[in-house]
Order: sequence, then structure tokens, then C-alpha cells
Amino acid sequence: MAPERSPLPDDRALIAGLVRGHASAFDALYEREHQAVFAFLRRMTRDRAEAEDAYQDTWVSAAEAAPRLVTGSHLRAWLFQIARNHVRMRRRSAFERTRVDEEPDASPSVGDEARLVARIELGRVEAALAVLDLDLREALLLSVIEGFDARDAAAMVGTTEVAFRKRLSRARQAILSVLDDADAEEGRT
Amino acid sequence: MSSPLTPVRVHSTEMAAHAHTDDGIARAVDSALRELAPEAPSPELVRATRLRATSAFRRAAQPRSRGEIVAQAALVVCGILHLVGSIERLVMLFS
Repeated sequence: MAPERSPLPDDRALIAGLVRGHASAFDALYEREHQAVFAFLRRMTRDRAEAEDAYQDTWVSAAEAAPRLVTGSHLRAWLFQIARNHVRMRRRSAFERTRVDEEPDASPSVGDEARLVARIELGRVEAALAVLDLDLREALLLSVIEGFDARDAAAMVGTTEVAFRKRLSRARQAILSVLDDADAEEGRT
Repeated sequence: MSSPLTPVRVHSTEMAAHAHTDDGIARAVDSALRELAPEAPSPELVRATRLRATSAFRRAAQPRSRGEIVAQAALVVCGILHLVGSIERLVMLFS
């Protein structure tokens, strides 16, 4: 029987286990990353059903490729690259969807007014993120929310570090502009 | 009535206040984005995907059987012989 592993082994230990074909290593990777992978896919796709399909495909692809990982790989970057590639493949084969998923729920289910306003504000930020181009949204998700540094994120999306930084700056400007427009719209009504 | 100053409202104000500098925009946008709660997968999806992926991993990690290795080697040899035959035919054609 395989020895007990710590709940969150580091990349080196995980890769060693994956390359040797230890299912416990794959299980530990799944346990460590499945929530983050889903959250990333959900925001990338803007559609729950599409995110669920991409989630399954991502993990099956990762499972098939894991025994061929090389020592020193950045495991999280490798996994998220598989995830974003699945989103891109789906987009290419099914045309760019224009449907924006339902607005974030801002129904007054909480009693406290401050909490309700906070939810609406978060909903605005989430909605602004959702209307950005896929490239810009991806840059913000990888860099700001997932915390990849510019070098790793650039490698994942197949561009240079300088180009990625520019894209990220454009993305920040774009989300700010969407929020400004929403503010102006709100002011008019 | 004015809205209470929630954390995100503060970020919006920060965005407006610092919109003239790249650093200010980056700080304000990033902190607002980090406030967003991630959406979780359903337990059924997590379970089903774990099962499917784990069995795919076991299949991928299995060492190949001797039969598979021999069959693959035979294919490579056939390919080489075919290539050599083609080259010979070309040489005869032009000689």
C-alpha cells in the first residue's frame, strides 16, 4: 500500500508520484486544485453547463498526460493551461457564444442593507468581468485571481511576458471603463 | 438616502481617485476582483469527474504490455523496410 501522504504535497512530490503512476498523487492533485479549476472555467466560459463540460475534459486530459510530466514542471500552470486550452477548443468548434449568463443574483434575500448593497456591487464587478473579451478576461483571471506571475501566465497563453503585461493593463482599463459606463447609466436612471 | 460605504463601494471610489495612474488602477481593479467569491462545482460533478479522471490516470500510467511493445516495434520495422524499398526503386529509376 502507498504510504500516507500529507494533504497538500508540494509540486515536486506530486510530480514524482504522478510519474510513477500513483493514483494517490492524482487524487491529491485533484483535491488541491479542483475548486480553483472550476471557478476559473466558470468565469472563462460565463456558462455553467459549458464550464462543467470543460471541467470534466480538463481533468481527463490532465489524468492522461500526468504520467508524462517532467520534474520541475509548474503543476498549477500546467493544469490551468489544459483548462484554458479546453475553453479555447470549445470556442473554436462552436462559434463564439454571445449569450451572457444570467445576471448575478441580487435578490433581496439578506435583511441587512449594507450586505445587500455589497452583493449588488460585487455583482457589478462580476458582470463587468463577464463582458470583457475572452483574452482580457483570461489575463485578469490568471494573473489577479489565480495569482500566476506574468512569466508563467504568458507561457500559458502562448505570448511574451511584455505582451501579457500589456494585455493585463488593457484588461484593467477595460473593466474600469465598463464599471464607469454602468455608473453613468445608473446616474441617468 | 446615501448608500452605506461597503468594501466594494470603497474600491469604486478608489478606482475613481486613482484612475489617472496605472498603479492606482491596477490596485483598485485587482482588489475588487479578489473580493469576488468563486463558484463551486456541485458535489455530483466533483465525484463523477474524480472517478472518470482517476480511471483515465490508471490507464495512462499502466506500463505497456510486451505484446503492445512488440507490435509497435514491428510497425516501425515495416515502415523502415517500406522506405528502403521506395528509395531503391527511385535509385533504379534514375540510374
